[in-house]
Amino acid sequence: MANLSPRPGLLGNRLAAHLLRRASFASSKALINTFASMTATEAVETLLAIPPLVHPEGPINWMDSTTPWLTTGPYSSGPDTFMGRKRRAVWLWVANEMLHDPSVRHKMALFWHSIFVTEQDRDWSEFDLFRLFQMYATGNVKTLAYKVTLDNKMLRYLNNNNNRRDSPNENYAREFLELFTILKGPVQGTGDYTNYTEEDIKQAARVLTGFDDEGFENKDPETGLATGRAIYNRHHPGFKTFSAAFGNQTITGATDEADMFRELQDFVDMVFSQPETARAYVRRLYHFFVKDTINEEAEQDIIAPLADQLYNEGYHIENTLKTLLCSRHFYDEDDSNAKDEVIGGKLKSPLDYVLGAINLFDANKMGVLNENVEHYDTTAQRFLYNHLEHIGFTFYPLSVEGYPGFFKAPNYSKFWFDQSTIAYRFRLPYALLEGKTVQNNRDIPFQVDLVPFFRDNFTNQEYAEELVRQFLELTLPEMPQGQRFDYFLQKLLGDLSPINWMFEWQGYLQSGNEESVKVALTDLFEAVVGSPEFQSF
Amino acid sequence: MYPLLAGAMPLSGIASTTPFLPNPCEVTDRSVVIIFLNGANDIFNTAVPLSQFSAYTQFRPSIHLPEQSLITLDDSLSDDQALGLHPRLSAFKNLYDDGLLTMVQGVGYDQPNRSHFKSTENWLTGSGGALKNEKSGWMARFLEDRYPGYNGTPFDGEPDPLALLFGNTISTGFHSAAEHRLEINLSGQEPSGFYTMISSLGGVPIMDIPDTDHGGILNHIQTISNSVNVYASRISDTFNNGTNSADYPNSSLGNQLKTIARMMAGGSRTKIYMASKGGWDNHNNMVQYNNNTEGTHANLLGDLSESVAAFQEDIQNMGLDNKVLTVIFSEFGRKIIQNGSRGTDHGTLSSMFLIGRGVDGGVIGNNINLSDQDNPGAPNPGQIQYDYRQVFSTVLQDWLGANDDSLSSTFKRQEYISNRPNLINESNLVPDSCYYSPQPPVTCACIRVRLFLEGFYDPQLQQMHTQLLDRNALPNTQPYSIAPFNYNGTETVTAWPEDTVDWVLAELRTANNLAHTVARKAFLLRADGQLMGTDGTAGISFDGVPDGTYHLAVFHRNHLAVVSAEPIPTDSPNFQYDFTTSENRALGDRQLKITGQVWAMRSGDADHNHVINNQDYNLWTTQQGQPAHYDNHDLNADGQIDANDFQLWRGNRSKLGQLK
Repeated sequence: MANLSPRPGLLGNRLAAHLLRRASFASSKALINTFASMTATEAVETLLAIPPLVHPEGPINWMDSTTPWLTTGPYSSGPDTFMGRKRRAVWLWVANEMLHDPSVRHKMALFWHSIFVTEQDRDWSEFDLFRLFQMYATGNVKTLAYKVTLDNKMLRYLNNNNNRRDSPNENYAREFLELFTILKGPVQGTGDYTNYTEEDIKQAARVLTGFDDEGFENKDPETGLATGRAIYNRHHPGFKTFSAAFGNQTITGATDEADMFRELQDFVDMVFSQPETARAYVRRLYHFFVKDTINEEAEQDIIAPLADQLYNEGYHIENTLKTLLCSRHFYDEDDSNAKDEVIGGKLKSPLDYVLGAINLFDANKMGVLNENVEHYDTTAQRFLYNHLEHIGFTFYPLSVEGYPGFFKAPNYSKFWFDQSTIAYRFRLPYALLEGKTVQNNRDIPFQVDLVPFFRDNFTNQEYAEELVRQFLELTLPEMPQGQRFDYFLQKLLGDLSPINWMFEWQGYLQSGNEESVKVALTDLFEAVVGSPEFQSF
Repeated sequence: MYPLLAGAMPLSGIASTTPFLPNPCEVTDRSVVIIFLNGANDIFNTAVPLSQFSAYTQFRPSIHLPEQSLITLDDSLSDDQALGLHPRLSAFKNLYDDGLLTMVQGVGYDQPNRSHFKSTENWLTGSGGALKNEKSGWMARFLEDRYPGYNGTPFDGEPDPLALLFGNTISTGFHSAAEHRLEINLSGQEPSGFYTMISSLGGVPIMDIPDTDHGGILNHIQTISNSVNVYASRISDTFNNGTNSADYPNSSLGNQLKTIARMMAGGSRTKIYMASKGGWDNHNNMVQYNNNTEGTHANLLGDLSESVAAFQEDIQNMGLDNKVLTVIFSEFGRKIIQNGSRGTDHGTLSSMFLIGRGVDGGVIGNNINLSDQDNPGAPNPGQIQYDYRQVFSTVLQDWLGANDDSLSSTFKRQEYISNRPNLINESNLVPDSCYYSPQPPVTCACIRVRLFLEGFYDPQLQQMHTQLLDRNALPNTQPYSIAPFNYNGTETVTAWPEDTVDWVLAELRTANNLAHTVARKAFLLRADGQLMGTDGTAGISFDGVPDGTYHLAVFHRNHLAVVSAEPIPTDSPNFQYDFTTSENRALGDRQLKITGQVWAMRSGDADHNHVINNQDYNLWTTQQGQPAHYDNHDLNADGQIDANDFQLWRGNRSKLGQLK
């Protein structure tokens, strides 16, 4: 029986590594060591402690040469005339925050980014929406859904800025129900999707009439971020009566501009008062953090009680997440079916793969973001487009459904690995050793100092088998056995004897000349980081 | 084999007089190109029902096309079918006038779903209406029924992937219930460099993958890696051997279709190609403010029709147009009424287009009645005339030759495979008597190996000569008992298989230790490069060898031996290893020699000591001018030891074999 109770006892290396891989991008030898001597509850509380951002001032502002940081200067509201420079600036800033933050914040921000989907824009609204996801990372989902509805980028992406009294546009209303909140249930008949109907979409579209996107001067006082505005004469004023799926609830039409926000809140409240909405979020949380598929046992013993918790806590998600990450189920210690594995049972997304490897191998040489505009932009272009994108990360989901690798049946995380990205994925070990991009071998500031890494992170390095075992324990979710272990060991030994390795290593320690041990360690590193096992987590 | 007519440019119209297939049952080289218009095309601004023009303008006050801008599709159509094409569809009009385009109206399924994702999934899995939530794709079900037991590797007669995907196509249609993959996804890849890029990646396969969730991930990675590796060189080859002969728009769809045509010209026998074009979800500003004939939707239609027309011209120029049928669809149609943002919202029914020499041309089905709407302004779903599965059933049966059982396995319910529209013309219709029965791919528990011998290879014929067989010079028992081979196997031939070239000796060697030989056996070499057993069955296998991966070494009595660049799995049925496609297929430095268009084993090692040197020359001088029967000094095996043999030696002198 799947078990949601907290796992007792200290985590140890293997489970600490599992938690860090799934709940952050920060896993490193030192962090694993720290977490290993904590209980699950202590460790998860540490992950939930959100530190300040590294660069709260935001990305570099390309458009204003006198005040380089975005939030310290005026936003330029015009379009980006430099072909996506603003977008690059925002995403390099996002990636940098992800790399430096040991908490769960950016995993959750990515989670929201994958649910409340928008497409790429070429202005700073990129920043506002991502910042919103960070602020509400472990916060209240209902509030987030309300604020996302009024976000400029979202208003434009799903055309709600054109949704008006006399000419409704259903696009946002439909996606809000189908993909952002309660989700579609089984089709009961034409236009009836169990959780809502076509008629509900029409009514919701009416509630949503009259909101328009704005420049950057109109700020939400709660968040300080740019937000859209209400225009009453474009709003549908009457009652909106919903179907039996929502208990035939009627929402009173707004009487003025300010009242439109009340009406929107009533609508959001109505959708979130359906327990199915809580279940929908919890299922996605489970897909994202725990396992690709949800079996019946998990549906009953994990999803149902977690959804109750989320619902009862008014959609404040922090404790629900804590329950999940502390549970025996998350650590694979609750059932008798040994084939049904959490650990190693998912395939790494490009961010888990690339950012995870940078931190795991202590390869981040980017330092603080350089205020030199050209340097910043060059790094952004190369790291984002010549590297991450070729390994399969598109920065925005290609459809409003979200990244298929996170939520889409039947393949879920297996979607991340297909023929179109395989070649670049397998180039990562070479790229890390050389500090290059996978696509075109351009310099980027992410490079492993291979020999010092092995010297500083392991013990008894002169014993080949012991060294390989420590390295595999650090890198792979499951320790390879038998022949497979020997395969990796032979990569280090190069078909020579363990004694030879011992002499090589001792020679290196005495002389400081790393040339010959580097050859062997390179072979080992490439074989492990380029292995199918390293793709799983 | 495809006729390779690239360069020949028949005038338009000549192709229609091309004699049709000599045998109407020979349809295994036909293919279907499916183009998915992702986002739902607005059919009412694509083809306007002319007799309802005033209703059309009334429902679309600010986005309707002006009447005088429309291209009348066909004067002879009755009011029920009369259509005016969007002005940017002149290329479609031309195809229609040539009898190459059929439009099927009122297509969809019962209880239409208006979510892009769900409806796309329905179209690709064959779901919707009474059949809900099929898990696998219908194209996968069809191909699996056609080739039962297909395991994702090439087999006899079908060297190409069964399906190829281009663009950001969703692969749902090819998701198989089984673990293996039916399709290769070429999105964003350059086919010409495909092989070079991936052949060196991947690492050594894991042998004992556990049956767990973790193992499931490893299996997925390994399966994908293998499928790419198995087909990689073939994909590059078909692309590089092909050419294009038409001007395509430089657009995503144009480039996808251009690549497909080029691979077809290069000999690809893939059955289903799937391309896609996005951008059709025009909720907003689908027409330009000052001119309704321009704008987003107009540009989409222009690109679509011009790309498709270029593709049709291209395959016609190459003489392939009676092998290829193109089918265009969208996941649903849009509403009849416009919305307030000069766009349209999600609707229900739409039209499909079929293009090619195989269709009759014309309009099938009546125009949608614009005034018969369901509640929110979309065509009343009751106006459906064809379920989309009926259309595809026609394609599978009348074009590809699927029998009724196969249609049942693909589309499950009788109503989707009966009352089908007639779409394929008489000359191209597959007769009932020719429907195929499912045939398991012909495979063997063996490795298929292809290699050429330089001295025997004829670049004109693109194969090796069989003069030894013709002269009756081949020994009945394997000839490798001599030093340094000292192989004492008793392989004997009782009846010579056709096209036998000569004996070779093959060995498996340990992956990590090339000096260690695991197994040896003598085989016959066929003129097309295939190694075969003494009974003439293509493929080689060794007895009593534990399953695993090994390097394969091949020896010939007067050519320099070669070793496979990568270890080869012995437990992967029908695994192919081709030494002829690149110099890098053999381990070591320049071990293969380019001969004509292919790479071949180097001739000249008359004393078979793995070095081509003066000793070989000295042996030649002592023998030159002599007639030869089965003689190691006769390097080209033409029956004479002469200057031609000297030239072969000279071209390779001082070459050191990898196994030296």
